[in-house]
Amino acid sequence: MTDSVVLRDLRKSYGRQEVLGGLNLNIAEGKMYGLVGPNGSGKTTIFRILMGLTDATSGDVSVLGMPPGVIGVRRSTGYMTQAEALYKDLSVSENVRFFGRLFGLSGRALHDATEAAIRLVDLTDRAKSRVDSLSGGMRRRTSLACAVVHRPRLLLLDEPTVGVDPELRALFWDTFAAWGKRGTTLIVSTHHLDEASRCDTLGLLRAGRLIAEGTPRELLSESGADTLENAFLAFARRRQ
Amino acid sequence: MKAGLVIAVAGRLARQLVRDKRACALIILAPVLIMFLFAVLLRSEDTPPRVAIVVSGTAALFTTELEQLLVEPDEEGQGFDLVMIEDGTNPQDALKRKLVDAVLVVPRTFVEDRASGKRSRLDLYVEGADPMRTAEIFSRFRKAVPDSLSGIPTFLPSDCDAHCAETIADGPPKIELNRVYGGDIDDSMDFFTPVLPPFFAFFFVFLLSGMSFLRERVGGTAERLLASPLSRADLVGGYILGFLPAALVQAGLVILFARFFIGGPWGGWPAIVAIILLSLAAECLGVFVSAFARSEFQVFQFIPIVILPQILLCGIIWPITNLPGWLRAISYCMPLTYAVDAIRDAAIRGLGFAAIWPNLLILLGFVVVGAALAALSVRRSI
Repeated sequence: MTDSVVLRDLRKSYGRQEVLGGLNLNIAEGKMYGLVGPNGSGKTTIFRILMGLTDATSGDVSVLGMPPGVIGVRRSTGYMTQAEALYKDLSVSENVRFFGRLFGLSGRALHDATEAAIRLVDLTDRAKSRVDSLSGGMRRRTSLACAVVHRPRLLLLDEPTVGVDPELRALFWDTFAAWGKRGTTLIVSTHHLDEASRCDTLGLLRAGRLIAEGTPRELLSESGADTLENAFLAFARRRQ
Repeated sequence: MKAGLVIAVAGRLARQLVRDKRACALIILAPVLIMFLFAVLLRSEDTPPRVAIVVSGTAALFTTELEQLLVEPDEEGQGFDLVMIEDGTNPQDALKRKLVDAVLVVPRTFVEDRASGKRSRLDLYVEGADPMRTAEIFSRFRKAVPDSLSGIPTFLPSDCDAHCAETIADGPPKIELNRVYGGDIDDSMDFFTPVLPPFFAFFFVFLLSGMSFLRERVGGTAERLLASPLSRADLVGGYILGFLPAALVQAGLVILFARFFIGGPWGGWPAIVAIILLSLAAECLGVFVSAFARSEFQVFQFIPIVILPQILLCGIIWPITNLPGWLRAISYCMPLTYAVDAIRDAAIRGLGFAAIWPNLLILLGFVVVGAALAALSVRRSI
């Protein structure tokens, strides 16, 4: 199995502040990888480096076998940012269609892809509603539909369930799992350790460093903890 | 109203303001900059009008005296700057080529006319596009010329006898004003009306694109756009194309209003092309500047830095030729300067594309450079 994302000794600093300190990661194709860590641990910075929105200070990065941010990567990747990142004065379908067009879809293909993405996030009955008339959860769903409208090979989801109610969170994770089975590589950042257990592999991040990596079961076993939350705390203590 | 609550709100605002270093700097710098510009402009001495004298016939005997009298400052310290033009040069050509501000033509029969008791006439040629400048030059001539020329008959040959002397006219000669352009323009509003559409287009398009791109950034959509196959050039190009209709509608409305409500010239197609190019430049500038703002409030703060100096220095109010050299250099770095010049050329001087293309080309240059700067600034701003 090939790796969709490879990071080697990845470092990123803003001035004197080190955000990522020598990160090594291999994320296999078709797997769901969870980046877990508290706020400020460097999760969003990793996504931004992968998409070429910011440059790494040093280290090697490969995304789908290409350097980060090149057109090939951008064409094949869906990125759901932490912010809603939607045009609030446009409708749900107008937003999804717009992002579909940016990924080269047109005509019938665009129409079908838009409908499919909206159906996937269960917003068909609100497709014509303006985004600013939607609840927070519906906006997150619209944002997700915009990220997947072009059926990307790699999906980067930055805190996709922040501010989302438990029922919708469960729906989101079911959807992510279904995409994983279809062969899409997913990298999901979260600080909710309970939902992270749905991932194939977890990378525990703290202050820009990977403090542990493995399947949820491996992490529990290695730490001797009963929950992933306690496992995280145990690994964090070992590092101190 | 509860004093405690009012103080709480005021205190919070003050704390935020103090933390916004740029706002603090602008609160101090913006009025200083604008007042400084006003002071320089108001104190800047008018450049003496450049005048050429064309004399023929017997009047040529008095050329030197005439020149001296024109060059000598009057009681207000104002004189003319004497310029030599080649013999045989048509006064109107010299004015069109901007070699001079005025040409005084002393007719071949001037002396003989005065000697024979006629009031006689002097022909003053001016460019005429700026009614205020025309009025100023004309007024200076009216002050200087009668005094200097009333003595001309006394220079006549000594064989002029008593009878001859009685017939000599001693009143001031009539000064006939001839305008190369703007023959119909008497109202100073006609001078300003054509440049209102470009000014409004520039101002509002700058604000519109700056605010809109800021919203894109603050809302997170810019990050999402740049993570898509869209390039920075595509993004800036889309902005340019997207706002162009709004800019055109706005400029069109101002033109229609100016044309049918205020009246006066507007410049036709050359003016429209100039306004389109200026609007595009304003859009690029708006996107570029928004990269340096973190809030809509900060975009507004750029108005005294980006917009006001252009209004003061682009020639709408003060002629660029009257600006001190260093301000003139700044003026030539501003797109509004070239748009105003092109539109006045078209509207007042009646010139077409063949004459105003250098200004249009420079405006196109501003668009290209502005688009490049805007595209480069996009990543910085995300």
